[in-house]
Amino acid sequence: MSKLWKIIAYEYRRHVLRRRFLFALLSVPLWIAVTVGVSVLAVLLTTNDDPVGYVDPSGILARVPEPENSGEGPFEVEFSEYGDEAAARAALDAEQIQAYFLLPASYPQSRDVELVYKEEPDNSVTNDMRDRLRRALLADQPPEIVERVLDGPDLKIVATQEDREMQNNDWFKVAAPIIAAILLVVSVFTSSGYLMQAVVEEKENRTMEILATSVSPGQIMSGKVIALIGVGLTQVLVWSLVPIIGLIFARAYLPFMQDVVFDFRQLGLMLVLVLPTFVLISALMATVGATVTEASEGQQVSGLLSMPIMLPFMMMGVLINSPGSPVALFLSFFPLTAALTVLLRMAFSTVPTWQIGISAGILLVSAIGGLWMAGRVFRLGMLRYGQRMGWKDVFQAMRRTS
Amino acid sequence: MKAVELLNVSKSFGAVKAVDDVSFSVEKGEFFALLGPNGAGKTTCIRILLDIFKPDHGSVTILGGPMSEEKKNRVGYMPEERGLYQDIPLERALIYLSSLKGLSTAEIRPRLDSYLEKFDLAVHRRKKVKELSKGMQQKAQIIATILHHPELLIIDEPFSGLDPINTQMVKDLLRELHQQGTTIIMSTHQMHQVEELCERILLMNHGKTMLYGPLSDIRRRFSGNALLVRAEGSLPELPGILSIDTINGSQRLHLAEGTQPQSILRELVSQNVMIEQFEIAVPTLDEIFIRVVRNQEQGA
Repeated sequence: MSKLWKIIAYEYRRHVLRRRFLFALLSVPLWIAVTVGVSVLAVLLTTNDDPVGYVDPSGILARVPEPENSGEGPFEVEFSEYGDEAAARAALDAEQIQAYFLLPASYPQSRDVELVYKEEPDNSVTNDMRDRLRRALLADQPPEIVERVLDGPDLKIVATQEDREMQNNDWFKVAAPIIAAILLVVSVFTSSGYLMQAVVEEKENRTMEILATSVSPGQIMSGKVIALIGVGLTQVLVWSLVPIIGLIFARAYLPFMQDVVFDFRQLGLMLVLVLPTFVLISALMATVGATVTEASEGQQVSGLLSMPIMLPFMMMGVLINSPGSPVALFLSFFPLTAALTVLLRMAFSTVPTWQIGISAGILLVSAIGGLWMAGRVFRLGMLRYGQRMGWKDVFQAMRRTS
Repeated sequence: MKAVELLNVSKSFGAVKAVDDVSFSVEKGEFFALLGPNGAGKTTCIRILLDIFKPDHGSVTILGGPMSEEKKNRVGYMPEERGLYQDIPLERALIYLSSLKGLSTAEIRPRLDSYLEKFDLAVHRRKKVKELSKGMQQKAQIIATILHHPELLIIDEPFSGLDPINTQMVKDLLRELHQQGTTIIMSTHQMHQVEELCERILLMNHGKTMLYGPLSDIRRRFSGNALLVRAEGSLPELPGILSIDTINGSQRLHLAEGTQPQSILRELVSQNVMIEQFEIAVPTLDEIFIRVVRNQEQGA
C-alpha cells in the first residue's frame, strides 16, 4: 500500500471512529426516523378507518365495480351500501360507520350529494367518493379515456426566455438538487471542520514534524482531503439511507409517489459539481488549519469562509426569478458559489449543459489549485508553533516552498 | 563515507539569522553531538538537514545526495517537542507512524512487541497516548523513531523526562544502535551524556559554529596548563605554579608558562610526597560550553 493510501486509510478511520462523528452520523437519521415515525403514528392514531356508508337509490355507483383492494391500505376506508337512509342512520348511531353519503334518486340530474356525520371525516373519504362518482359517470367510456380524464392535463410550463421548464410530476427533479445542496453544505462544513481541527491539533502536538520527515507535504494534504471526501460521502450515504428507505416505503403506499422517476443523468451532474467543491472547501479549511494556532481561531476564519459558500441560498430569489441573469451566471462560475448556484438553478430551470461544463471545469481547476495551495501553505505553516500566518505569508508560501 | 554534510548553510527568518554559514559533516556510523544554548540554531540545522526547511544559502547532502522520499524511510527523527497522536491507542499510533516509514504491518508487529516489552510499555499498548505519563510518552516516541531501523538517527534531547533507570536504558540502546553501525546525531543540553556517548561535536551559538571537531581534541585544546593532584597532607612549595584551587579534595595546580607536568611530578617524588592522584586537568564539556558561550557574548 502506498503512503498516500496509508494516510487516507488512517485519516478515514480516525475521523469515522470518533465518538462525536458517530453521534452526528447516527443522530441525524435517528432524528428523521423518530420525527417521521411519530408523525406517521400520530396520523394513524387520529385517522378514522371506520367504514363509510352510502345510500344510492339512483343506482349510479352500481355502474362500476368496487375498486380492487378497497379498504385494505393504511389510509383506505371501506364503503358499504345501505338500502335506505334510516338503515344508514341507524348504523351511524350504532357507530358501525363514521359517516354516510346520501345520493338522491335525482342525482344524475341534480349532482347533489349529502354527507351525514357526527365527526367530520378525513378529506380522503370525500375524495374517494368523488373519484367513485366520476368513474361511474364515465362508465360507458373505454378505460384509457377514464384514466386520462381522471388524471387531468399533464401541464408543462416553459418560459422561452429563461430556459425554464417544469412538469407537474417533476417535483423530484426540483427536490433532488435542493436536497443535494443542503447535504453538501451540512456535510462539507462538518467534515472539513474535522479536517481543520485535526491539522491544528497535529500542529499543536508536533505530530506534523514527524509526518513531514516521513512523507511529502503534498501527500499529507492529499491523503487528508481524500479521506475527508470519504468521511463526507459516508455521512451523506448514511443520512440518505433513511429518506431512500422512506421513499421506497412511500412508493409502495402513496399513489402520488409512484410517479417519482430517478434521473440518473441529473444525479451524475450533481456529483460532478459536488465532489470538486468538497475537495476545494476541504483544502481551504486545511489551509486555514495550517495558518492558525488554535482550533477556536480556525473556526472564526472558517466562519468567514462559509459566507460566500452560503451566498446562493441567500440569493435564492434571484436564482428562481431570473436563473439566466448575469448575477446567476457569475455565481455559477465563481468557485465558492458555483456548485450550490448550479444545483439551485437545476431545481428551478434547465441549466444549459455548456454552463454546467464551465462550472465543473472551474471547480476542478480550483480544487486542484486549492490542494496545491494547501500543500504549500501547510509546509510553511506546520512548524510555526504559536504563530499565525498572515496573508503575506500565505502568498509568500505559494511563491516558494522554503 | 559521509552520512551528512552541510556546507556554508545559512537560513534567516525575517531579520533573524537562525543559521549563519554553518558547515559540518558526520561520518557514516559516527555518534555526533549538536550542542548549543536555546536559540543557537540547532533545531533549524536539523530541519534543514531533513528538508523541512530549504536553506537560503549553502548545500546539504544526506546519505549521499539530496533528501528524497525514498531516503525518508532510512532516517529516524525524534523532535525536541514530542509528536505523537494523543487521542488514539499507543499501539495504533506506533503502527501508523512506522507504516509511513515503509514497513508493512507484518514487519512492524514483531518489532513493536519486542520494543514495547523492552520499554515496559506492553501493558499500556491499548491506552490512549494522552493517558500515558510523560516518561512513557518519551519512551513511546523513541520506539516510533527507531522501529524502522534507520541508517541515520537524529534525536533532539532524548533524555528529557526520563528517570535514571530509563535514561540508562536509552543510553544502552543508543550505544547498541551505534555498535550496529547506525549514524547518530544527538542534540542535547546534557553535556555529561555527550561526554559518555559522542565522538565529535559541533557547538553553536547565535547561529554560528563555535567549536567543531573530535571531543578529545576540543577538551585538550581547552585543558590549559593545569594539573589535578591529590596527596596525603598538604602540598609542598613547588616551582612554576601560578595558583592552586581545591576541588572535591583534589588540588588544581595552574602551571606557569614553560612548566612541564613531568617536572612537577619529579619534584613531588623527590620531596617524598605520597601521591594519590596525578592527572592533566581536562575541562568538562559543561565548562567548555559555558566558557565559549560567555566569551562570545562578551565579545559581541
